[in-house]
Amino acid sequence: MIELAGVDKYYNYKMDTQVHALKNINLTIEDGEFVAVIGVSGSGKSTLLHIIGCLDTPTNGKFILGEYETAKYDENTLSEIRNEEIGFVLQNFGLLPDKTVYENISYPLLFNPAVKYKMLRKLIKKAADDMLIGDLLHKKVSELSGGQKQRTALARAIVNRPDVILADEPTAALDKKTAFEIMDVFERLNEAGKTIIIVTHDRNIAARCKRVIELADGEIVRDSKKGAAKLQQ
Amino acid sequence: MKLIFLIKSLLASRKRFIVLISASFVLTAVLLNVSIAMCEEYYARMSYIERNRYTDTMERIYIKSYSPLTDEYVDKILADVGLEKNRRNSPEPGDIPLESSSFEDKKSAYKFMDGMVYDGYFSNIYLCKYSEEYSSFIDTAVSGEIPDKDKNYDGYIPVIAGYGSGLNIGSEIKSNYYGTKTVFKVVGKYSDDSLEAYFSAQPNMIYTDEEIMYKAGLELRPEDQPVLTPSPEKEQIVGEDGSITIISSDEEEEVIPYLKGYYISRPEEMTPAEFRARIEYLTENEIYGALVRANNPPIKGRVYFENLYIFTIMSFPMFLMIFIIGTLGVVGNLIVNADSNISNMAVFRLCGAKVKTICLLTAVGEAALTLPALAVSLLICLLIGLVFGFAAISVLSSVITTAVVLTITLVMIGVRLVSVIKDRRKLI
Ligand SMILES: Nc1ncnc2c1ncn2[C@@H]1O[C@H](COP(=O)(O)OP(=O)(O)OP(=O)(O)O)[C@@H](O)[C@H]1O
Ligand SMILES: [Mg+2]
Repeated sequence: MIELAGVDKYYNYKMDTQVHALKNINLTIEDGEFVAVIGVSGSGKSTLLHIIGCLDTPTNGKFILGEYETAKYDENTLSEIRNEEIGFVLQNFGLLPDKTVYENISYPLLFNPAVKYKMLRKLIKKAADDMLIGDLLHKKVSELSGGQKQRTALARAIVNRPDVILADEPTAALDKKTAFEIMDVFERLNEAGKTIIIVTHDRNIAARCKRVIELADGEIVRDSKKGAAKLQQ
Repeated sequence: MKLIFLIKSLLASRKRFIVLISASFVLTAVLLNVSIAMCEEYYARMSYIERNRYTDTMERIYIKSYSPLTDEYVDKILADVGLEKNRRNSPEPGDIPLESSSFEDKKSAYKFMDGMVYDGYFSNIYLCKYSEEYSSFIDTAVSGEIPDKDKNYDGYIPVIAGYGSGLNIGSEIKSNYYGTKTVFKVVGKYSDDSLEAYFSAQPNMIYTDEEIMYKAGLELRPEDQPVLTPSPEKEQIVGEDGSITIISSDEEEEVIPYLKGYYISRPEEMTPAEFRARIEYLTENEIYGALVRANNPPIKGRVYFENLYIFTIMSFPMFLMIFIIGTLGVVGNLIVNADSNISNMAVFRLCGAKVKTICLLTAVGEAALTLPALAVSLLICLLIGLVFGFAAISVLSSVITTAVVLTITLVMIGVRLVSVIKDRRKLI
């Protein structure tokens, strides 16, 4: 379970250039939810995702990720939590282009003390097969198509078997057909029990998620669950 | 194992200009090593001379005596005028003209380090034998061997040839001077004139240990030499008996049986003026039957040191070059690999790398560039030393070079860490 209570996020806090990116966010996301976060540019979507992903910390408020109350931890512990609990997928893929698919997928395992070097090959192969790129392992990322790159990023996101997968505009750099294929993958992962949070400005993509949270100027202005919407009808 | 995999992966993304950057580090370390080693040799020599030989004033005096001039006797004379703590040596214990076979009528130029050139024809070679005291001088300036008084030489007398001499190691000089045929063989040669300059050595001089002469029966030890009675009737008697030149002087109307030349250095606690005054005193007064004359002009111990300034001036562009090449390497490395390094670290962070792991990887990434360069440069210096036979490396130079390279590495790690920490969110 992910829980944010009264979360504020300021950039450049108490400086001339201060930005109030998130304002009093109260939000609970249960395990296994499939959430889209939408909103115009600058509304605070990425900021929210970074806080959930322990890449950044809230200025005020409480943030609980599963069993962890993250405000209590230092950067090293947050790294550990990130490593074990969270998989990231980014718009620009966040891969190292001059490395092979194999190497790119290996990084979360390399930083996970619980994983032995001997296990690497098997785990990487399994994640890659899962994302249908098992035959591309020794290709350089720069030689892949956009869809293949995003599948590599997905393989990397799941290789440590995290419970939560966070995606920031995962389909923005892809054509429509490929974007929908990637969404199929997210759906499949969600069916397998993973919590998925996707930031997007594409309403078609958001429509495929089970819950849509809309941000505007750092505040939640809409939070609708598909099931709930159906109930209301 | 995982760490090695990571480091390998990290280093592989540093391909651009890596050869050039490594080369600049190697070159920097080699130049640094060579120049420090060279400096060190010069400064070691300078301090050796300063410590063991002369302060900054030296005088050449001749001592005349009716009794045999043993070293103890000379010590006594000098001690009596308060010069007991000086360091002295007898540069020309005796000149023996030798008939030369290989050196005859050859024109030779003898160049001093300060630019003075002695140019002339020599038909004779002069043999100088040096004392124990003198022998400790030679080691710093002779290439080849130094005659060893404890060694048995088979059928020849080992000698050292002067710096500007036409003689080379292996040259032989035959002489009938001693009644029997004697062969002198050059085993060593002055490699520069720096120390030899003290002894106003000529290109036609060869040197050997006095013990060797005594052992070969070519010389009598001072204590075995006969005391000559002055014979005023004889106008001039010139004879050589090795360490002592016997000259009769017209003006003094007597035979002065013993005359010996000495270089005397100023005792440390004495000012140059005091020292000069003592020498004047010795010169003007006959003490213990000794007449002492100052050599004119006095030889200054500084002659050799002054040449070091040239070296210092020359070494400045060298250090400037080291600085420029080193800076190019550091800056080049920091600029060229900046982006790839930051994106590497941002991806690692995204994948859950801890801050300390990122710092470690950054450090290893830089050290992996400089430390092999250091090792390669030390090897190159060793090779230069082996092939060209000059001191391109020493313990001190390798320690300093290592320290400098480590400092450079630390600076680069520091700069990298700052940029990595500052830009750690760049990816997202
Ligand atoms: N590192 C930062 N320093 C200062 N201000 C920032 C920083 N990151 C984001 N902001 C500001 O915070 C606000 C929210 O930014 P955020 O990136 O969360 O928006 P977003 O909804 O993801 O926009 P987009 O759709 O363009 O990605 C913006 O006004 C942005 O300028
Ligand atoms: Mg964004």
